[in-house]
Amino acid sequence: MEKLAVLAESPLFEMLSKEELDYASELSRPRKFSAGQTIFEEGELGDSLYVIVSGQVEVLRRDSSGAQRTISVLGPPMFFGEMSLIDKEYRSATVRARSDTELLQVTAENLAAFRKQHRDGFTFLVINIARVLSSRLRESNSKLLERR
Amino acid sequence: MKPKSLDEVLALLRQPEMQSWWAEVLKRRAELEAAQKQQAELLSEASLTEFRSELSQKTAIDTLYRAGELDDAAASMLFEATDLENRSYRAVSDFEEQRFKVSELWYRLGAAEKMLEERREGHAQSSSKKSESELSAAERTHRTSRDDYERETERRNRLWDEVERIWAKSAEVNLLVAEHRLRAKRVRREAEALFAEAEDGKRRSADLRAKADAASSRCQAAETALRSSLDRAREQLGCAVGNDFLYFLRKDSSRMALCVSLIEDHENYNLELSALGVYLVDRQRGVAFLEPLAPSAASPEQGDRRFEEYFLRGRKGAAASPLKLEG
Repeated sequence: MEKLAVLAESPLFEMLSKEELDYASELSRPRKFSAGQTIFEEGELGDSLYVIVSGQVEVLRRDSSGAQRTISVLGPPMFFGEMSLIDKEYRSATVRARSDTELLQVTAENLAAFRKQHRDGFTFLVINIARVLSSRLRESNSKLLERR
Repeated sequence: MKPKSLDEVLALLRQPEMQSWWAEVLKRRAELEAAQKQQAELLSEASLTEFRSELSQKTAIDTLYRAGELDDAAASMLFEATDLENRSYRAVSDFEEQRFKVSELWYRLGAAEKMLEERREGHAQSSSKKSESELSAAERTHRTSRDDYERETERRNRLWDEVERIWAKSAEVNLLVAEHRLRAKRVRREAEALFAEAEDGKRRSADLRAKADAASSRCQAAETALRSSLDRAREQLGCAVGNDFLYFLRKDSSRMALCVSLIEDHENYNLELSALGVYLVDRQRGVAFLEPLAPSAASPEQGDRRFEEYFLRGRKGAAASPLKLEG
């Protein structure tokens, strides 16, 4: 797996310089999951985000009846797991590999190390996370309005 | 341990002495791994041989017990055969007695038939009350004689059948006695072979244990040699030495240290380690958290330019850079 190429494609690392990407690439750890394997569960504590290298993952949430529903399917070069990293709350959803999946894991500690060396790069990384969250918020607002 | 700058550490790593030291460490490690592997294999083989030997011993005991059971069965059958033989003598004697009795009854029946014929002729020539009564008496006698003869003949035949049955059973039991005895002998031989196999296994296992002990000594020697190579780095490079890392105090930081990985590991650390890679570690936490060396960071001007580009340009519809989102 060419980690650097994967990170360069990911919206999480948009606007980062070559040096910053090199450093982030060294800090990330490859992880492999088989189809059907759970990456993390709703309600767990989490301190990592994941960048999808190959394969697909599904994001699942329990509805009021307790049944799990797929709320989104993600593939490369998207990332997930950033919410718990930012707000330090429990995982808001379960993420499961839909097919054999390769991911890059970036922990909170790794991000802290990244910040020490590349403050501007870190700022852009946080901006990128904020952009994704902002985009999701807009989408949720639109859906809410449609329902009303 | 004298603190060093990153450049000094990198220069040390480039020295020919360092290269030859590293080659020596790799060689020592390979020797240690080979010795450990050989020792593990020998121990595993010794344990397996021991286990097999114990199993053979146990099977041998069971087999010997089975041979004893077969011997007992043969002895019991021999007893039965003797009993049958005795019974057959009695049965033949009963039969002979009955045969004699039947012969006698046959003669009597012949006499009764003759008497009956004479009475019939007498009665036919001069019929009288007396001749009629004599004929009736002769008929009764003949009937009784015939019944007696038939009944006793039947009994004689039954006695003969019994004799034949006892002889057949006796022959069968005698045949089986021989077979059981031979089976017992064969099973006993199997048990002896198993005992021999168990003994052989014990000898081989002891031999393997001795070889494993020798391999253990080689392991210790290889470990000592590797440790001495690593310790040499302490003197030559002025660093602290672990099993998997060399540590250098950093000249320009009282909090951080530099470490050089002596292993390649993609699983057990927070990042993927490469052999002879240089990493930053906190002095308190050590390799619990490793940081890569930072390449030259972007200048503040470059950073400013990126922020200006992102925040001040491309607003109102035109994004600074396309950000694709799914879902």
